[in-house]
Amino acid sequence: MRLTFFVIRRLLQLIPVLIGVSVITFTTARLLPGNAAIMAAGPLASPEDIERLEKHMKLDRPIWEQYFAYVNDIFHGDFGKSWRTGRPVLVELWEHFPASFELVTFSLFVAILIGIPLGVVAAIRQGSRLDQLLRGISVGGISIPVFWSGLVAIFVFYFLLKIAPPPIGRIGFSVRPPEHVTGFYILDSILTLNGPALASSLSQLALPSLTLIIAMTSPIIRITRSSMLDVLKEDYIRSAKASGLRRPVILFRDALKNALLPVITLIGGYYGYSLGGEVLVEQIFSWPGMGRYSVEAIFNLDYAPVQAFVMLTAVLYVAIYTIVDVLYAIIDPRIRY
Amino acid sequence: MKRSLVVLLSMLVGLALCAPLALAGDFTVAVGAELEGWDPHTAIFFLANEINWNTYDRLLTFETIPADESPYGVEMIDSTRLKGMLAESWELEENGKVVVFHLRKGVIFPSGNEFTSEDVRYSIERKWEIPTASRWILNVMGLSTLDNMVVVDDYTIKFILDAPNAIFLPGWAFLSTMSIVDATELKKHVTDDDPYGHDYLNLNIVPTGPYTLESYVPGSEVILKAYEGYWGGVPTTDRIIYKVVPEEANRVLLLKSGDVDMAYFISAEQVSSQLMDAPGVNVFSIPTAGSQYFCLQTTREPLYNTLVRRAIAYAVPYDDLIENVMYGFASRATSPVPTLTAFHKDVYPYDYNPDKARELLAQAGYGPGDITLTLSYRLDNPDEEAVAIYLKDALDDVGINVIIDKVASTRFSEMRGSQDYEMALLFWIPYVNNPVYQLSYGYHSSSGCCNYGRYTNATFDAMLDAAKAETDPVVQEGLVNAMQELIAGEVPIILLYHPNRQITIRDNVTGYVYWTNFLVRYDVMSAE
Repeated sequence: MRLTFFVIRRLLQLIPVLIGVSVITFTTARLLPGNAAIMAAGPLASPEDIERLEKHMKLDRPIWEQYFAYVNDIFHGDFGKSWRTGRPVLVELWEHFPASFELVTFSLFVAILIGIPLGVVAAIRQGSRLDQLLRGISVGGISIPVFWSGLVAIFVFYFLLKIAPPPIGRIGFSVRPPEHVTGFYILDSILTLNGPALASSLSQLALPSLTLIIAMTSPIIRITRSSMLDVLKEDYIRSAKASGLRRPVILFRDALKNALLPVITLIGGYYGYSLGGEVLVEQIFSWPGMGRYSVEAIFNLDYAPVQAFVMLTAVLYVAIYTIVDVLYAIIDPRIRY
Repeated sequence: MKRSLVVLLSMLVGLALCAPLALAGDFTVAVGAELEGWDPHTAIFFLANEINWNTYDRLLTFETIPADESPYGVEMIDSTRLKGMLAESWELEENGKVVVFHLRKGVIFPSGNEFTSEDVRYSIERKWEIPTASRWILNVMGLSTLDNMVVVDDYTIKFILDAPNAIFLPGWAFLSTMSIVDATELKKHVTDDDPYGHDYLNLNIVPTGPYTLESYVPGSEVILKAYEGYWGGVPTTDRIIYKVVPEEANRVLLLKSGDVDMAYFISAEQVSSQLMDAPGVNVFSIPTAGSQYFCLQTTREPLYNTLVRRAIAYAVPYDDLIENVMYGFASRATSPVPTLTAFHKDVYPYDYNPDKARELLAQAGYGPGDITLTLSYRLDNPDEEAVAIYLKDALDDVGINVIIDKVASTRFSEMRGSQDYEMALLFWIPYVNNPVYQLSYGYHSSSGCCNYGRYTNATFDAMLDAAKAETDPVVQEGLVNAMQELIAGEVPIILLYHPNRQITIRDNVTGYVYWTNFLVRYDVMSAE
C-alpha cells in the first residue's frame, strides 16, 4: 500500500520535471544555429518563399508566444508535426519506439544474464587467472567503440561467413513485417502466428544485439565484481561463515542480494539512456529506432520531433527509476518508502 | 546457460538461411537516407523525389541516346530533344509567349480515373498555393500568376508566360516537382485543415505513373508496385524495393554480395577502393552537370576587384583536387556551362599558375599577406573539408591568408540564404540541365535564388534576359557563348570541378538510363 503511494507520488513528480524539460528543449532547439524555414524550403527557394514559410511555421512570432502556443497544443494532445513528413510526432515516435525497445531490452537482458554471474565469479576468485582474464575482457568491452565492433561483426558474420542476415533493419529481404497489432515485431509475429516474420525479426536482432551485449556486459561485470568484493568483506558474511552456513547460501542469499543494489542502479540508468541513445548501433544496422529518428530531426531543425523525443525520454527515465526504487525495497527490506 | 545461448543463436541463424529469396521481377535498392515527405509539389529530399519520379508522370520527357552511342557506356537522355509524356504534343504561339499542351487521351490512372486537363491545372495550383511549396521555380519558368494558366478543354491546357522562356519546356521534363497528380482521387482526401491534401500526399500517393505505393515502413523501406495498366506499357520491373541503409560501408557490402541490385550515394573513395574490381558489380562513372565551386562575396573589397578574383582562379591546384579529393572521379570545369550541357564551350583560361596569381595580386595593389579571407564550409562533408585544406594551402602560397570556418550545415544554409560569408564552398546540381537555367542560377543579379556571391553585372543580366526569351536556337547559342566568355573573364565564382556520378549496380541489371538530375526510372529496368 505504501509502495502504491510512493509510485503515485513519483508519477506526480513528473509534472514539474516535464515543465522544466519542455522549457529547456524548446529554447535549446531554437538556439541551434540555422533557420528551420530555410531548411524546409529547400535549396530552390526565393526569399519570398522563405518568408511565406516562416509565417506558415509561425517562426515570425516571439519565442514566448511560440512556447505558450506549443504548451497549449500539448494540453489538447497535439505534440506538433514534423515538417519533413507532415505527420504528428507522437505517431512517428510510437513507430520508432518498438524498434529501440526490442533491441535494447533483449540486449540488456542477455547482458545481465552474462554479466552478473561473471562478476560474482570474478569477485569470489579475486586475483585468480580467471579474474584477471575477466577484467581484461571487460576493459576491452568498455573500450571498443560500438561503431567498430558493429562493422566488424557485419563484415565477418554477414559478408565473409554468410551466417548472419544483412544489416537492413528489423526484418529481412522479402519477408513482410507481421501484421500490425502493437508495432513490436516479435510480439506481433507471435500474436499473428507468423513464423517467417518471427524467425526473420529474431535473426535480424542477432548482430546488433551482439554488438550491444559486448558493450553492455562489461560495465555490469565490473560493478558486480567490485560491489560483491565490498559485501564479502562485511562482518555479517564473516559471521555467516563462522556459523557454518554453506557457501552457496552465503554467496547468493546474503552476499549477492546486498551487492545487487548498485548493479540495479547502473542497469536502470543504462536502460534509460539506451532506449533513445543507441544512435550509432541504429545507424550501423539500419535499425529504425528512436535515436536515429531524433538525430535526423536535429540535423534538419525539425523542432517538434526533437521536443517530443526529449519529453518521452524524460518520462522513460522517471518510469525506470521508479521501478529501480521499487526493486530496492523488494531486495532490501530495510528500505521503506 | 552458455550452451543454450549457442543453441538459440544457431537456431536463429538456421532460420535466417531458410528465409525465402527475393522474388523475380523485384529490384532492390540500398539508399542512404530516410524516405519521407514525398508530396511531389513540396518534396525537397532526393529520395522523395525519386519515389515521385516513379509514381507520377510529367507532361514532357526526353529522347534518349542508346548505350552504344553514348560516350559513357550507358543509355542517357538527350536534353536537346523533348518528347511528350502525358502531353502528346505541344505548340508555341505568339513567338513562344504562349504554350499550348495537347494531352494524351485515354490514359487511365490506377484509381480508374481518366487523365484530363483538370489534373494538370490542379497540380500547378497546388504547387502555387501550398505554403511549403516553392513558387520560385514557377517564376523562373515564366509563370507569375495562376490566372495565366487557361484550361481550353478536357485535353488542352494553355500557359501564357510573362515572356518567351527557354526554361519552361525543359522544366516540365526535368523536374519531379512538375509531377501531375490524380486530382479526382486526391480531392477525396482534402479536408478543411488540409485544403490541398498536403499531409495526405506526404504519406500516400495518387499515382499517374508506372508505379503505385505497396507499403511503407518508416525509417526502413518503401515498396513500389508496378501498375499493369500504365499507358506506356507494363513496367519491366514488378516491384521496386528501397531499403534504408544509412551506413555507406554496409551499402557497399550489400551490393558486393548481390543482396541488392543497386546502391546509392557511394563516395568516390569507397568506389575506388571497394567496387572498381568487385566481381558482379558494374561501375559507370559519368560526368555530371553539377559543380563543386567556391563562392566569392563580390560586393566587398578585395573580392569586388576582378583582378583578385582572377588571381585566386590561378592559385587553385585543380588537378590535385581531382586526383586526391575525388580519386579521379571528376573532370575539370572549363566554363560556367558544364560539358554535359548544351552550348558548352571551353572558355576558362585558368590553370594552376601561382606566379601568375602573385603577379595579378601585385597588379591589383596587394602585397603578400595584405589580404585575409574567411572560407566557410559545412562540417558534415568530408570532401569539402579536404578541398578547403587544399585551398588554404594554395592561397597561403600566393600570399592570401585564409581563415577556415567550419559551419554546422543547418547554420550554413542560413548563411547561404543571407550570403553572410566572404568565401564559401558550395555544390550545385542544376535540376534543369539547360544552359540558360545554368547561367541564371549563379550569375543573374535578380535570379531570386542562388546568386550566392551577389554578383551584379548589367550587361550580363541583359544578355541572359535576351537569351531566355529567344526562340531561335542559333541566336540563343550566340548569346550563351558571349555570356560564357564574359563570366570566364569576370570569375564571380571559382569553379573547382564537375564531380562524376558513380552508378554502382549489379552486372545483370539492364535498362538503366542516366538523367543529369540522377533520378532513376525503373519501369524500363530489370535485374534478371
